[in-house]
Amino acid sequence: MAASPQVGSEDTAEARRAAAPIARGTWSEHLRPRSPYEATDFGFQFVRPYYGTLLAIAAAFLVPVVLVLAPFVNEHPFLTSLAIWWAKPVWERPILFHLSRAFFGQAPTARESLRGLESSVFRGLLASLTLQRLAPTRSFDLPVSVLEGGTGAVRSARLGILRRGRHGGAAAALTLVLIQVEGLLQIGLASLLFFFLPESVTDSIGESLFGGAEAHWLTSVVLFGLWALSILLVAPFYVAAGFSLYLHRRTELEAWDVELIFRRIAERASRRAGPAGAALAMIACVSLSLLPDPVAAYPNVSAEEAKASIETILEGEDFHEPDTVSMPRFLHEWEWETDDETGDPPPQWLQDLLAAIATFVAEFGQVILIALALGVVGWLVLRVLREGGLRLDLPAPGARRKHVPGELFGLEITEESLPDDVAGEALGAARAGRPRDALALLYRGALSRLALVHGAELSRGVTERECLDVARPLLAAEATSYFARLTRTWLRCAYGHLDPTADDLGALCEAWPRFFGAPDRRTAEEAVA
Amino acid sequence: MIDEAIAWVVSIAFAIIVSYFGEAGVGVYLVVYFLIEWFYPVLFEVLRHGQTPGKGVMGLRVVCDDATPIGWNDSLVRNLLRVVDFLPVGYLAGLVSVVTSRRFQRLGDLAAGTLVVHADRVDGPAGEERAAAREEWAEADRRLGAAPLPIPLVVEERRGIVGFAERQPDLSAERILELAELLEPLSGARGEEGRQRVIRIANGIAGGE
Repeated sequence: MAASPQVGSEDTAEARRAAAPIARGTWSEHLRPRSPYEATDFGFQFVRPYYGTLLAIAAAFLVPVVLVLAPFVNEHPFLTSLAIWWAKPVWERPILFHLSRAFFGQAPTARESLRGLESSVFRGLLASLTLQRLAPTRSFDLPVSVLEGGTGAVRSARLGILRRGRHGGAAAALTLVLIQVEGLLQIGLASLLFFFLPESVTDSIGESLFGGAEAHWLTSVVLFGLWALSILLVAPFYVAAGFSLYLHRRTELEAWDVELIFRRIAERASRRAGPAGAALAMIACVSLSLLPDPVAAYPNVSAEEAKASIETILEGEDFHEPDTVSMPRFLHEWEWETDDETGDPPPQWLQDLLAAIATFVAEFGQVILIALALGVVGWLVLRVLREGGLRLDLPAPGARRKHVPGELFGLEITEESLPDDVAGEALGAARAGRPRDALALLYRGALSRLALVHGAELSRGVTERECLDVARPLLAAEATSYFARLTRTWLRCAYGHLDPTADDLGALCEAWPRFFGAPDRRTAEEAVA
Repeated sequence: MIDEAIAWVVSIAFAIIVSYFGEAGVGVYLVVYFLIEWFYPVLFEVLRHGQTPGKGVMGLRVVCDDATPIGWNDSLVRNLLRVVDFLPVGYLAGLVSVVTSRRFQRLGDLAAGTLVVHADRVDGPAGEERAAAREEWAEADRRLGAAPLPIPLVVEERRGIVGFAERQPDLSAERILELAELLEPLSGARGEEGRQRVIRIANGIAGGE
């Protein structure tokens, strides 16, 4: 493959500019096959920028429900809590609607989203409040009802396919976990409040909760309010994670991510072909043509001007963000109170017990330590007996060999792995139309000679460029420039897939023996010593 | 949670053993319980490359936030601060921290500069049969040869084309053709011929000979 024009950096830059206006700002481009748990995390990540908006949208539906139920809270605390839990699909649907638009790069405000709600959002709401309410994969099924608009048998068939697979199972787990989280949030917030209440109040609450006394109506109302709040707080995460699972299941089944990318490429390809062939590629509900046209503003500036402007930018606030830190100032110093006088000495029996435990631990520990020491000694004795004496495998002084790795960046460079006539074999490979093999052989041979003949210290992790740096002081000027040429040609071939011309390769083969000829055994030995 | 369960089982088993030693056993039990409670995750995270048994089952791993392996200090800090995450009850603080931090870190993670990451990348269904099918497709695609890119493409787009070639065994035949035909402006052909041209482009990107 010759240097193909499209690999050039300018063309790539052009591609990037052309693709930029479409690629930025949409979540859909981040789709790829993901495991269910990763997909759930993706959903949690996805919900973040819109969390406030989603809370507002959900509150618009949740608050009326709460207000309707509020008068009955005191008499039926459990039933009202259940009712609000049961009504969840009512606000989950608008949340999903908003998220689905945000996913394709259109994120309206809460007001716009509420006004723009299509009637389809609530189609089949009755079913989802009755028959389908207890389905554990509710969040996963929701997109089928709301976005695909399927009902009845169509919906069941579709769900049958979608649920088969790991993503459906994860959706059920998600439901279970987030129910726990809701409960935990309620209890956590309640106990946080509890911590800040005066003791007289907490005592009476404690009695009403655990002592069977009549609960104050405020307690029930607060608990109910916290329950509603935690349902509200969790809802966006639940819907987003379910939506993400749905999207990733479709990605797995239909390579949906590939479709989105292909549409983008096709649109650009036809735009290139001319306006006549500009087939409009539409992604789902979004028309990409609404997005601004690419304006590639790259003004011509001289190097000095550019440098000056770069320096101004580097000195500007973007790179030196001023950070204002404010600390609360205490109005008065804390006064620490110690309550030494309240500390009674622990009762006698406890002291005795502690002393007994301490004595036991000490004795027990002593026994264990002695046993361990005996064990180690015994093991050593056994070893010595079996091996017939202690042997210390220390290298004799002077016998140390200079370390030469057998392999560098995947290339074997030991003397044994190389043919006797490196250059000849390389030339043969080059003539046989295997320039890559020829170059590899030359380069390997050069490295091997460098290490063995010239005593270059090459550690296992070095790069090609580092080898060149190591070789520079060891080789004569001419040999260095040859090795540099060889390295460069090899790198272009190995990583760039750009084969050298036959002439270049031939020249390299011919010159090789002059610089890296057969190793003189004696010199090699000296280098090693 | 799996780790909690293991720690519980171990400490209960130990409790049963030491119960034969009477009161003195209680002291030993408390010492062991303390060690398990505080150092169980630390030991496993450091010695098993960031994976406690529970994390192993779930395919998770703890690493430093620069992706280097976790060390004793990091693991100690993140596990000692578990108490802070527990406040006020039931890991509420940790929960809030996880959903608000950009990389799902609980307070202990933020303090120690560590991350919990998905260790395995799972692409498509696994299994021997699937592996064989995958191999077959790859072989057939290789035989089609490579073609240069007709127009310049950015990395994501190239990845999309290569991804299409790799994921064919997971898709239905109709869907494969449907997807390939989307690229008609690029390949200039429809149907099976179109698919083959797209595959050739993919081979070219992936660096086929």
